[in-house]
Amino acid sequence: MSALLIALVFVGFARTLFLRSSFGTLDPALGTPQMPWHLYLHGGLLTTWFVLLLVQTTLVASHRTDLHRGLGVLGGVVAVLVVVVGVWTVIASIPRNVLAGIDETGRRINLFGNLATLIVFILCIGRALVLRRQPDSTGV
Amino acid sequence: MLLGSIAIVGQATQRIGFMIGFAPLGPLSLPVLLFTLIAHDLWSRRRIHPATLWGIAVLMVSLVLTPVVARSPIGSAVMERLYATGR
Repeated sequence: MSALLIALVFVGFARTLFLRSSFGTLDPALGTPQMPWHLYLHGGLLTTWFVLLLVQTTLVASHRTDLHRGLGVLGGVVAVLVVVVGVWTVIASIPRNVLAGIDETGRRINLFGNLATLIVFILCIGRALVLRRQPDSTGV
Repeated sequence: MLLGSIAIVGQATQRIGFMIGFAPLGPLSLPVLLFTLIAHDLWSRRRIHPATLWGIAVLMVSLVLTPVVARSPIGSAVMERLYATGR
């Protein structure tokens, strides 16, 4: 399942992040090949998160729960950074979406959809961290 | 960790949907991934993991509340405030 998720991330963001120079993608707000640096940071953090997910699920599947718990600390740090930079990216996307010509409805869907996603992420990861000492409580 | 990741993977599936000319792929991917997770739980442990149930409940509540908040006066106020912050 985690391999499927990481594959979806790579394919979904190939054009706008991973292979953006190959595709000649232009930033929709700036009209340039480069995008703001915080979007590279955002993409890098989320990529790290999904790679970590794959590593963690592999460790659990191979019964290396000691390493899994150790890496959990790093997971917590990455999760906090994902949320902080994610909120920053969502806020910065509002004027960018105006520049990109996205209408009011689209901007609302984008803003509140992304904020809700981050809230769900916080709740799921927060629950996993709170219950991390209980065996078999997090579902990974 | 898996449920949190499923929650944030929608941006990727949405882009794949636009890429292949099937825009509903974005919204459809969430229930498909959740059903896959339920099937995995049932296959591997013969019951649905409590974390899966909890995560699905949180996701469903967010799906119901998000459009309500987005269309509300509070949503408009938040959007204006954040627009000023983001400029």
